[in-house]
Amino acid sequence: MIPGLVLDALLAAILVALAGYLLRVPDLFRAGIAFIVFGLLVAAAWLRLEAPDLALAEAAIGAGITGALYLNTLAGMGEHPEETGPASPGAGFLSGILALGLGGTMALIAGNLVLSGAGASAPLGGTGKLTNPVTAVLLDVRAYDTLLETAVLVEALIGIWVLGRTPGGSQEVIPPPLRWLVGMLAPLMILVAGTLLWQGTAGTGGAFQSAAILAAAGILARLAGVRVPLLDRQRAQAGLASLGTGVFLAIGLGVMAAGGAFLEYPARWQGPLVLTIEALAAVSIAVVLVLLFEATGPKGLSSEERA
Amino acid sequence: MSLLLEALSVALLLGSAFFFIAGTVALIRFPDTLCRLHALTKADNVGLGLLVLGLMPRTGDAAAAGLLLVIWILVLITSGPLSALLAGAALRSGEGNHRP
Repeated sequence: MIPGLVLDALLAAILVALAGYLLRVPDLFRAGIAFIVFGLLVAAAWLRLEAPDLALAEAAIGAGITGALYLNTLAGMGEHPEETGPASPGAGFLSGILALGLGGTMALIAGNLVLSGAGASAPLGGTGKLTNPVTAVLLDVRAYDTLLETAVLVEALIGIWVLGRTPGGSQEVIPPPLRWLVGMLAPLMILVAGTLLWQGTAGTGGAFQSAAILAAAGILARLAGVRVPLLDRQRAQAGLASLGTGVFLAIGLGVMAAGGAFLEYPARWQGPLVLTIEALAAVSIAVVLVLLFEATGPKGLSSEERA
Repeated sequence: MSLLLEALSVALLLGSAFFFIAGTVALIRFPDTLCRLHALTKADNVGLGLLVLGLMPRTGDAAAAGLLLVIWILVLITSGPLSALLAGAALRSGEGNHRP
């Protein structure tokens, strides 16, 4: 147990130090790289807390895709941009209050749990086919929250589109290693995404993790200049992005017609319904992430590529 | 798990730790990006291979051991083109001209 404690303490100390570093370093490129490393270390922390689903999601979305979005945005701003000017005192004050509030609340909750000696609460999994407790919570017990989360992603996309869409289009010459890499990896990633989706009901996986892998494949494809014909026209993009939320909502209302509450699946149909929702939500989330990546990148050479 | 297998696993894991430390030292001490890339691709991939080989006897399940091997092969496959891309970017930005 002692080596585990030492490692955990080391991990926690590195996380705090890295967070301090990436907030204060003036070179934004370095901050971006530090952010990706931070995401990976947080994934390691989740593993130490025995939460593999969260570790998967953190590594894929928090470190991978968010890091790629950040670096892509920086690329649109020029080489190694520096932060200009210190933050205003008002912003610093507000951030301090927020940090104290969040940190204090977390300390209170954690301290309460530790002091009251609460053991493990009743296990959450095991209703019907959903034996994975994370998926059971996300898509059954708290399905409403997940529905709103998918809607929030679509809103984020709409918000960024409103700010002005970049014409996109490929950059200069695509280096052959990148093309080879994408040709090698993209089919494999789609396969892994499908596997994660399928085994998410009983094992580690689920819609968000699968969507993250799919989005990573899509981003790689866009970086290599591969056109995804499905996403060429704006209507198709908007349609695919909102498909997951729409179907989720439709199923939620539909089960009401069958005589239940909103999003209360009838026991016989729970498996297929949840799988349908997860599959379409994964596709939608992946499409939203890829479109976010495209919308925040450097301005393309010309708008000829756009259909 | 037999004593021989345990000893072999520990030896492989220690070897892996050595290679990772060597790669990190190279990352810190070498003068430019190209040298660091060269050292890292060799040392880290060997380190990962030894790590995977050392962990395989500990899984106790052929499918999990096979999955570990697949992970190593995937990292090997992708690290080649990735290093080429990084080296290309480094050359374009003017590094890699340290001639003794």
